Amino acid sequence: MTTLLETDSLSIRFGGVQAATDVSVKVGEWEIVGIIGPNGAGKTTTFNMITGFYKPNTGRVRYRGQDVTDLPVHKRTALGMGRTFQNVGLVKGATVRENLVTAQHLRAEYGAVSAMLGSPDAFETERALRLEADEILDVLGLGELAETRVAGLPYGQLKRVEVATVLATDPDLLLLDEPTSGMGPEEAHAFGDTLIELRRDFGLTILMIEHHVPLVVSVCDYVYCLNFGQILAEGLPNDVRNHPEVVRAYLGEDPDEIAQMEAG
Amino acid sequence: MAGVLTRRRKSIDRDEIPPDVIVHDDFRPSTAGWAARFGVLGSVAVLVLWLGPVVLLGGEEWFALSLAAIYAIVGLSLNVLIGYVGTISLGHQAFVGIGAFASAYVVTEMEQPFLVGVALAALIGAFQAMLLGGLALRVTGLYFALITLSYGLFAQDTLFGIQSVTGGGAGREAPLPTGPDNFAPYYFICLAFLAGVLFVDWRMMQTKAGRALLALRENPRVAATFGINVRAYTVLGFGVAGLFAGIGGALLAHLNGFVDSTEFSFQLALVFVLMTVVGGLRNRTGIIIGSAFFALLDLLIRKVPGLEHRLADLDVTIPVVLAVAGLVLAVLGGLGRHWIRAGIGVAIGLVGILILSPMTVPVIENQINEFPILVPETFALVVGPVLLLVTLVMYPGGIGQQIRPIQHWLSGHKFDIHVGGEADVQITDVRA
Repeated sequence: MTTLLETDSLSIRFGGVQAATDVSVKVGEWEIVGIIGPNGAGKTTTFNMITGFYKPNTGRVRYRGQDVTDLPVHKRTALGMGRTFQNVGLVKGATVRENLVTAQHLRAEYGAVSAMLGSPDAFETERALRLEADEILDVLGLGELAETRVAGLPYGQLKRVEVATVLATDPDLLLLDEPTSGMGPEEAHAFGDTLIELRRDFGLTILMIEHHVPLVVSVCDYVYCLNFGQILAEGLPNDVRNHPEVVRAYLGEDPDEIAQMEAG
Repeated sequence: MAGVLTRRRKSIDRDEIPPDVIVHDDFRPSTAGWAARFGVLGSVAVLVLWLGPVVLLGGEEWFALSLAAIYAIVGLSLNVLIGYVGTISLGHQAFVGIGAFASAYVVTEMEQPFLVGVALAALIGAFQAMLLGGLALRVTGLYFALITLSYGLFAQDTLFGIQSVTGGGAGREAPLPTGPDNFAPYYFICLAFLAGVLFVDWRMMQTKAGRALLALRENPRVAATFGINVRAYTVLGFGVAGLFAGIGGALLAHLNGFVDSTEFSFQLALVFVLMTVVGGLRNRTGIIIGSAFFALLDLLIRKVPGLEHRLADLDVTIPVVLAVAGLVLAVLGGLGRHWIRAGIGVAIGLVGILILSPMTVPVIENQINEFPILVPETFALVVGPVLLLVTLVMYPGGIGQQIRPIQHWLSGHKFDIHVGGEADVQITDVRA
């Protein structure tokens, strides 16, 4: 299996806070990899270093073997990295369809200036982009929402629209930051099915931060657990879940409590 | 490709989507409906091109009308910055002034034709704006507003005083291309440029550049993950704003026949910002109406008998402002079906009109004030802030928000008075 994404001991420090230390993750093509860990463990920080919002103090990010550590965010998008945000990354004033068409930015292959001057290419491309956006929405069952303003949608729907929007950027690697937050357990489970179907239908590789452990166990091929900015454990989902260090990180040091949890 | 997937997802989602958020619009107007819509558009065109200037104003006000078209261009320029890019410019008089001096220089010193002057003014305007845009990438919000403010003042006092280019205090001539005092054809030239600016603005917002600007205005991080080069598009947005402002400045110079640095004071920048925000950010028609209103204030004052002389008197200005503000509030409140607001507006307006009525203020025909307290420009700065307050507090979308139902209807939808209700513009739009 070829490695799609590889990070090589990423470390970053904000003032006096060491937010991440030697984070090395590896994501193979077509894999679904999960990152778990308690709040403040450095999961989103790691995402931000992978996607280019933060520049790591040390360490490299490699995508398809290419060193992308110094590339700006939009160039990484062009290479095929797409990400969602913890607090919904959408243009709230626009409609759902407009969001998708905005996300197709790199596929609008006409010149921005010539389009302003009325180039006929732009008209045709725009029509094609709109049709394609509607197709993606239909696949995710969001077709009815195309004309709806994002600002009026309930949270669970927003998360789904966000995934549709990222798909519109035509990614190979999908980085999802807590995609099921705001969803109930059943919805989250259904979302897991969606992920597996997306991988199949769009040929995606997925790296996701997720708190919902049953979902991680059911869909992920490999899991990393972060704590205090370091990788605490990695391996198959069930192994990581039962790893004593991981249990301690989540539940604290009290052995009785842990024993109780293990019994229950 | 994913038939099963599609069907299953739909069955899950249908329960979650509140029915009122789904927009269904299968309405198509009938032939008569289209005829009515084109009839309205045609009437507006006739009003602007012939009925207004020739019949209503008797062909005497071409200068004021040209100014209105130029202000509309400037308003659209400022809209690109405030409405699309999301940064405020308090130094827009410099943008316009640079265009004015550039064109005057090209036409008088380099002896090039008028169109070359406008083209070069547009390019120079775009260039200086892009430099400022580069700065906007590093400094944002209130501090950027401060920078634009100082830039405007710096341009007025220093840049426009460079003797060899601007003629220094003496100013520089900028001949009217259509011959001395022949303003009628110039009005149509200005309208043609306005149409060009509108076309570029429209195409920009329909294509990727416009979407990129709207996305990065709301959230630059999200825009970047969409693959948008935030720096490049911010600078592009400034460039377009500078281009429009340069055109507006060149047209203004040749309309006045003369440019000097005192014209481009901070007051002018303030009027520009007022007319754009009151007109309604991101609504081209609203901005044209707002800008034209401020440009034509002078005409309005002259056309209302006796008002010009009375305006020099503060006792009269206050009731005039009350009357105008009340009227505006009443109309806006009525359109938006906010009856309480409309009622308050009517009351304020009535108070103004009552004080103003000849019974309370006798018209003294021959009264000419030796020391006029309020000249028309100052009047704009009295009416303007009142309108701005009404806009910001009650209707952030300005005039644009009020005319949304009409625009919606004209574009082939069913008439719905509530279309502008969900405000497209928020007060927090400008990150200052």
